[in-house]
Amino acid sequence: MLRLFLLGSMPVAAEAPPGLSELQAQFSEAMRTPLRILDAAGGYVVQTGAYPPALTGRITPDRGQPGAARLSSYNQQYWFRLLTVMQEEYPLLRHLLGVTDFNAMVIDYLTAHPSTSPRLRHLSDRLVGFLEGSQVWGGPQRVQCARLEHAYIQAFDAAHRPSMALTAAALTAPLTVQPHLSLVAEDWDLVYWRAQVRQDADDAIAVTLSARTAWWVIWRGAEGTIATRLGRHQHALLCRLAAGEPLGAACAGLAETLDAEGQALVMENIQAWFAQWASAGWFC
Amino acid sequence: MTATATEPLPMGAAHAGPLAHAVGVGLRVVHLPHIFTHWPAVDFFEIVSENFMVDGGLPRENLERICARYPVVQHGVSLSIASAEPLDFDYLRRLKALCDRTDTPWFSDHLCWSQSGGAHLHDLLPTPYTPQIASFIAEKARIVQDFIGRPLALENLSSYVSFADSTMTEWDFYRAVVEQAGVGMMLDLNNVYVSSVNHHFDPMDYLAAVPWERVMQIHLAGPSEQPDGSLLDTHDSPVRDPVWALYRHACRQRPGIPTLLEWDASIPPFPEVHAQALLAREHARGC
Repeated sequence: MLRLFLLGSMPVAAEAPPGLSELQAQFSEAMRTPLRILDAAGGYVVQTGAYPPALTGRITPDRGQPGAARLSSYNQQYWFRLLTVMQEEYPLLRHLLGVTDFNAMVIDYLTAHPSTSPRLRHLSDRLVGFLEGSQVWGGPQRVQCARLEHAYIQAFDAAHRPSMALTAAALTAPLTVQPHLSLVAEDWDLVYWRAQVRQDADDAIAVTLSARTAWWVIWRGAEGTIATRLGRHQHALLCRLAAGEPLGAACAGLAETLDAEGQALVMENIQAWFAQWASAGWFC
Repeated sequence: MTATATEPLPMGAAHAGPLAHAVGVGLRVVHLPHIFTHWPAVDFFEIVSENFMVDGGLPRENLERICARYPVVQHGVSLSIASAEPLDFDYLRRLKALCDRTDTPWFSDHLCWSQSGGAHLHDLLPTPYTPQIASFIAEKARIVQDFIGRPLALENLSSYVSFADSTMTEWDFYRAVVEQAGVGMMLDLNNVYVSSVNHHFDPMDYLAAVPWERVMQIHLAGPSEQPDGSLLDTHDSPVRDPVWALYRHACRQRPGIPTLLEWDASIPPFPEVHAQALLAREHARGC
């Protein structure tokens, strides 16, 4: 017998057996109990005393260990798995903070914002906001670094829609940029340093950030993820377009922020810019 | 093909097809350069579904290249069929779309839960073994199989805790779920072995209770040992001898079951992993 699945009327299984939801909530709480990070050598403390007693009493003791000790395998594996993912996806932020502080920061972040997606690529979707609001972990360098590294995640596997050629209609209709494209402004040469630390498996490089503002598009081309450097005015114009302004309005809005020299520069180059951006397939 | 609770899967449903006697390897990113250069003769690849439930980019391009040359079977880690929470139909829609792209002959996931209260725990978590919970899971599994429109195989877990309020053995629970749901089994023999060590039972008792006509695929892998003697299902080492013994028993029960080797950590070069997988063929011949 085949079930029919009609839009808006998905079948609902029977209610869960009594107590199952509570048990799983308690198990989840035990798993997500923060590890207390001790040192860079990987030392940490498992806080089994924080597990819900109603749960630990239901776990069969084994090998001379009480239920809480048996549960700690899951608690440790949870954090190892997520810390590993975050370390791989945020190599520069990890380098800037150092492994010990990075792990402690990730534990704070995921305690405040547990994963809500079955796919790990979304694990850090709220990291920038977390850092922006954190007295402990925030700061402009870390926030910009997290924003940049999240852009690389987005560029890796977000959708690529059919590219749009620029026509007269684009002057009035809002342009849309590719979902895998992010516009990033950063003040410490972070793209350069990220490339360096990714090749540095031994953490031997000393990252010395010096002030140098740069504007980037992080996107995906035929050869993979790419960082393309932009000029300040190019970045400002693309930001306006990405925010939904039609081309004409975006150009006019940008011009209002520029002096005569800036306006002349934009007027002189804008056609070439758009030809380049359109040929790269950035608009859709 | 969709089965219902009252219709057992046809005998040999899984392995009467082109994957009969097939030995596959879990597709891992580190092996892609080798595969795309040498196109090794592999019977099939198994993919982790969630790695390809993305909207674009390299994962999809790589999958298309693989699908053009090899049969692909999907294996998921986030179905969370044993969760007390309702099924996630957004997830299932994405899964169905991927199944249609790969044309997987069946799809599998674990007899476990992995989310609670909206939080995803990214792990395969055990549940107490009771008839009530078995029936609850079976109903959800039936809905999932019908929704996807392809045979579902549920995989037994490795587990590190047991619940004092379980009233059934793991194998009776597993059997009750798949038989009530009318779905198949993805029998992970390494998981049987790991749980037998961790929970002090004879793995042959487990296999004696397996309804072999429902076994659609076998998983093999290597565990790691903890200081207290318990085992973790880490997929980071060769298949152990006791697991090969279980495999030979399985092959005697159901010759030709598609078999797959998983290797997920400390991954050796592809030829080494493939050679380990092909040992399955030698063991099957010796039965």
